[in-house]
Amino acid sequence: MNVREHTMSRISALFASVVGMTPTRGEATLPQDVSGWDSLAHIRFVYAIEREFGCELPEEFLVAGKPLGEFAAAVLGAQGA
Amino acid sequence: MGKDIVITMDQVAQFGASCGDRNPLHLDTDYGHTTPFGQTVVHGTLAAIACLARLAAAPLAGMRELHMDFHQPVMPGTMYRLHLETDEQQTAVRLRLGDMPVLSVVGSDQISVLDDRALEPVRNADEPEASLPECWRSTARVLDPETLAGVGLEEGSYRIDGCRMRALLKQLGAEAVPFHLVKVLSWASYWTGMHTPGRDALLARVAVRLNRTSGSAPYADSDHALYQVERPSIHRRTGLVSLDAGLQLSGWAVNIAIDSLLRRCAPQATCESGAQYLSPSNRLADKFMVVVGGSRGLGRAITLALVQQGATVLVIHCQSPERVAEMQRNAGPNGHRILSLMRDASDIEALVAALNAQATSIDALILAAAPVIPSLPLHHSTIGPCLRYVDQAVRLVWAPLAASVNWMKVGSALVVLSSSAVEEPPALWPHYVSAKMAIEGLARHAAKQWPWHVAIVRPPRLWTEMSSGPTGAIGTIPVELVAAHIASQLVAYQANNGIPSLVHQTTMLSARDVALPVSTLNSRDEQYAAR
Repeated sequence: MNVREHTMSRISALFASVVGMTPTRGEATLPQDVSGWDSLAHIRFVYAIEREFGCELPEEFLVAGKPLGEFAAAVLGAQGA
Repeated sequence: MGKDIVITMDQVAQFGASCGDRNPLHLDTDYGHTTPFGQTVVHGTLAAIACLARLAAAPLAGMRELHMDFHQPVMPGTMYRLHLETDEQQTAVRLRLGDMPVLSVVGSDQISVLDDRALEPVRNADEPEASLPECWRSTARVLDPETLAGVGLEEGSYRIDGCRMRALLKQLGAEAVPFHLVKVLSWASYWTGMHTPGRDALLARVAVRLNRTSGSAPYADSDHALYQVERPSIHRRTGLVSLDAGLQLSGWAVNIAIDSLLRRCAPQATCESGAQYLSPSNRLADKFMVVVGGSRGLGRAITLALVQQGATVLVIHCQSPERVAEMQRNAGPNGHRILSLMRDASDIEALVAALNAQATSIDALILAAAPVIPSLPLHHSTIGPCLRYVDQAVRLVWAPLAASVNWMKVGSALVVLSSSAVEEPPALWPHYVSAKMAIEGLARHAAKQWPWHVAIVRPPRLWTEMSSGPTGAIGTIPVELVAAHIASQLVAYQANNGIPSLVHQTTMLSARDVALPVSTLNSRDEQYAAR
């Protein structure tokens, strides 16, 4: 498992913990695909990621809309990987 | 199978009086009017108790873990549908408005790990019993992110008014909900609404783990509890506040994890902030203009921009005399050119009388009043509130326009505030888009039938107190920018040609007559400009 896959795995676990559901379409999962992924859950998800990885996601990730897979790239980018 | 559920304002008041959560968002109608909800809202945990009341006594008594997610505010008097889902591992009660999730309560008789947070049972403190109402705060604590970050561990004793609470439970049909659970949820509401984050809190999630204790409880068979609250954490960019707490009550040690939002106030436009986008001038000197809904949000910014250009502005507002007075002070030597008229903008007779008393020709009428936007899915159960919204929103435009007709003259300007939402309709705003399209239709009619210059303005998402959410200014443009564009265009309006001008975000951001200070243009604005 490479770094990106490992990061994605941890993000998926955080997603399941916060939203209470597994991502239905993997990395392509969008908020409209998961009924519990509303704006409040999204904020809690972002906070969980930032605490888990010790980084700050770019501002555009604070608003729900991006597919799950982009969070891994954002985390690695924020970590300077 | 679903069941309908309605929580009344009286029940909200009873819950507040029973648990001590007297946050004005729940109990103060005037305060509720100033929030993005436009009204008071039900305590989240009261709604959760009402949901639990639909469960049988046996699974309720066996519950050891509860997760409550508050997706949308619960409004008093609104009918929601309750859905029950059970399997071997958990029982879920979900509250919905149409197909929109509002509240989820998921219970289990198994203990798991709460959000990976290690919670320790509260210590066994030796404190005297508190009496009501001394153990409650009389007013909700007001914390900002800075002071909240400095809050440390807090502990003490808490009690509910058991007699009053039991009467409420009976009224809700919730006698089967274990009283220790009611106490826990009451404390969660009290702590969130009155202490941390306090007045500006919005409950997002509560997770509860109930552990039976074998030792003697400090306050057996009483309504008391001991609490210990760990230092809260705050996500400054969104205002998300997380805290872990332990509660000890008769026979139970309880771990609670609470996530809530610290609601942030959108900044109010000022003459100074407006001057960053449009330099003061006298280009509108001797002009008399009327701004309906001109005391807050975009309407306020428009009022100040017009006054800074030399106009005299009559602000029609619902109940904001102190806000208008503050605007007059902010405008300094120009403050006397802000006139206040407190009227319900949908009351045509009151407006006609007031404008006749004013007896002044109107050079420009700006219609900026709009009701607060509730989230309402397109569903048979929401037809009533959707149509009421459309009626109210259209009245707030139609009535002042009809009342002003006799005072408008050839060449007067009519500016109607619509929204970019008509181009990209949000999922839960069918009523909002319908209302704005109706308003635009009225504007088109006016442009054709009257000798006025008519402009339809479709601003993108703005950060105002009525639209304030956890992401604040992200994805928004400043109200001052829209106001500056409108004010500058009022100077340049040409003769009416029967077709309204359509102003949208690209127009506003590319306007040459509006200064765009580089310091205020961040990446999101550049994204808009690039579209």
